[in-house]
Amino acid sequence: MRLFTSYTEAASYVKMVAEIKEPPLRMRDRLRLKVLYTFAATLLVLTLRELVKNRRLGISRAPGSTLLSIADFLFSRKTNEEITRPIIADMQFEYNEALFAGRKYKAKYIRARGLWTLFFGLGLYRLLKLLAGIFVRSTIR
Amino acid sequence: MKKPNRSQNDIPNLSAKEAAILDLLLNRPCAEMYGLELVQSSRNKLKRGTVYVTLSRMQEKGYVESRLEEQKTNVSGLPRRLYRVTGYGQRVYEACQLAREALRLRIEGLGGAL
Repeated sequence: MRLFTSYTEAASYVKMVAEIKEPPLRMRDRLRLKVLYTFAATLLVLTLRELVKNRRLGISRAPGSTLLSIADFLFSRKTNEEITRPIIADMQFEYNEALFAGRKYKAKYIRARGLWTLFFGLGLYRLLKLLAGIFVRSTIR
Repeated sequence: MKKPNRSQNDIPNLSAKEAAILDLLLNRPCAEMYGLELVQSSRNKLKRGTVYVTLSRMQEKGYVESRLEEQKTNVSGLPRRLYRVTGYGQRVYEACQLAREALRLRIEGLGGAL
């Protein structure tokens, strides 16, 4: 069976199909579409939020863990057990308390203070003071 | 526990910081305290940076002993260390208090005589 008798007829049919316009959507269909779009957008936003949240809650190293590994390498076991580890443990305890209370900046301050305390506790402060004294004496003379 | 290295002829000495720590540990209802608790309740007599050095020295002298706290399952972070006074530490503290009191009375007596 032949659909078109001539090329002209076929061309006119194609032209007619191309000119057909979709009928305008009914009010109910437009509402359905809006609901669907809103649902999809909400889902997208919630997914993105979850992704960001997961990134925030991701596994990270505890404060002082790098210091602890450095101290384990540098100092004796006794020094680490009696001085380094208690200082870091105190810092972590205070840091966790501050984070639990939602005080992010206090937690940052505690982290910085912990570093200073460790520095002071291990006597490096005195060493630097001694070196500075030697430097000052040598420059005065 | 490691045995403190002291001989029979050693006269126990107590610095101001050590006396402050023993005072805090002895005059508390709870026998054990954390280092941070000692700092917080010392009213600026003790510093965070030096308290553990002092406690370590006191452990060597046999005035205090320590143990690690039991780690709870839902708490993160390193286990903290609890300190308590030994019998020897208590006797040294009491002897130092008596000696200080005797010295004060002696000085006051001399002041009165002069």
